[in-house]
Amino acid sequence: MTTQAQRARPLGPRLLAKINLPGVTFLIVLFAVWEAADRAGLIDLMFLPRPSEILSAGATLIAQNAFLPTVGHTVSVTLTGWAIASCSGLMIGFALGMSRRVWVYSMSTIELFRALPSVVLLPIAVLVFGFSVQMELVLVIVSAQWPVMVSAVDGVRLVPQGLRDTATTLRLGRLETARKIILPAALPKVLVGLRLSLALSLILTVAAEMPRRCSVTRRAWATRWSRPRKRCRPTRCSSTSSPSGCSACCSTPPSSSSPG
Amino acid sequence: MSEITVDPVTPATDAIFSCRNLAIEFGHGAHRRRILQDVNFDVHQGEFLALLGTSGVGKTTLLRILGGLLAPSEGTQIHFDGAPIDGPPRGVIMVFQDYASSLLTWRTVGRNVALGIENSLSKAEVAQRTREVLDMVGLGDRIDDYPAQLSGGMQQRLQLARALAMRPRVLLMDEPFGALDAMTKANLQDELLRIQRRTGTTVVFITHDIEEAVYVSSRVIVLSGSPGRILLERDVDLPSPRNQVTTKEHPEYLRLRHEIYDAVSDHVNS
Repeated sequence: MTTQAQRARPLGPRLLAKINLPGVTFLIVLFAVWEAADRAGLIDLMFLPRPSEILSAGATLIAQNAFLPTVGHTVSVTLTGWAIASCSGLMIGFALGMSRRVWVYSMSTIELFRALPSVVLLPIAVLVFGFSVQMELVLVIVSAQWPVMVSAVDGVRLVPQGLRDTATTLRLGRLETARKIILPAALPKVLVGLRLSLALSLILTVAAEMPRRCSVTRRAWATRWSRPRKRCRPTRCSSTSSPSGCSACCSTPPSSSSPG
Repeated sequence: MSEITVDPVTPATDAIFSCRNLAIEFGHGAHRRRILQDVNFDVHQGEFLALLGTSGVGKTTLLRILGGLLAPSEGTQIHFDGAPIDGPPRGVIMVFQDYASSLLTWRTVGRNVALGIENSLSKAEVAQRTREVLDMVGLGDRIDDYPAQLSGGMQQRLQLARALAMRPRVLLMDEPFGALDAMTKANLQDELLRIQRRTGTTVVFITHDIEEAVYVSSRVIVLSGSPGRILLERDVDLPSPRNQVTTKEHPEYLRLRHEIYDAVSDHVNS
């Protein structure tokens, strides 16, 4: 009866009802206390601006149309990388979970590569792909597939023996068992892996973007690694008179498909 | 209560299952241990056979061999319908003690029942068969509920319904009522007997409860020892339908209970 009543209500109020009001209120109060304490001189955070300053700086950036395209780029790289990483992680994970032989042969290799901190891949990715969307995607995909893969392996291997026996005694085929029993039973663990890897994707996208977005590092890296075939090189840029023209030129090299 | 002797070499022709020289070992090297040895018996069409024994004697192992989930040691001759068993025999369905881990928690009661038949039957047939078996076990009004919404006894009824939907010739039941309270257990024993009478299904039923074994079965086989062997085999000649009160006051029931009790405790103490 309650579910029917919920269905009858329009979407807006239902979403509103899902908001955790006490939690949001607490957060707002926390920011207000910070702001008030800073203004009253109770605390002095030298390098950390007040919430009001952060808000107004954000508003300026949005007004200059500099904020949203960048966020859009980050979000699209994060989600694309996550989607590809999830697909490959799930496929490899299920294969490892279902076949004992595949698992025995490949688990040491996987554990070795999984232990590598993702960020150390960044210089290698930059060397191979330059400062490009491909570099960011590769970094995200390679690193974000581990949690999905490992959770898929665990999910499949920890399916209760009772369910496997049930599939056997009801004479379900291999494919039918995988589709109707193993995958649904492994799903809760897989979802945890997907969640972890989404967070990891965002972290890695931002890490991969940092050397490129931060103009000083960008110029330093670009000077060292830019290839002669690129028309727009930092050396040529630095000879132009206008510094704004330089940054516009470098941030949109003709060979790059990056939208920002 | 005639003494039934089985020829240890030739498989019986009228038996559904026939086991000769059944043995099985687990473990490797020094840890290798023989679980069952020299087990010879037949299962006949339409009978209700109880396999009785203390825990650890190999009852479940024996049932899993019959169900094709485990391969016995070499030298074992085990036949279903005259053909050697390799893999789960067609028409033989197991019902497990641990109903909670055998049910698909993400499927409704109805869709759990449909699991074994939805591939081979049409939608209408599946719906009709599902309704029929759920009515049979008294879960007709719970078809859209999820297993988590059912009590333990109901979950075990659901597992039974899922097995019955396959129209099995043989039900292999592994201590199906072992995890239930006494009153639920008594109810389910009577329902199982009613269903068995109605469908004519052959039942092999594992239990460690002597009274349950004598109450439900038409024949009891007692396993004992390590490795487990057949200690005793008795026909149960009690009037049917059984009744929780009158059957348990019947002189034959009391005599069998006494005899089996003595045999098991003598064997354990010696």
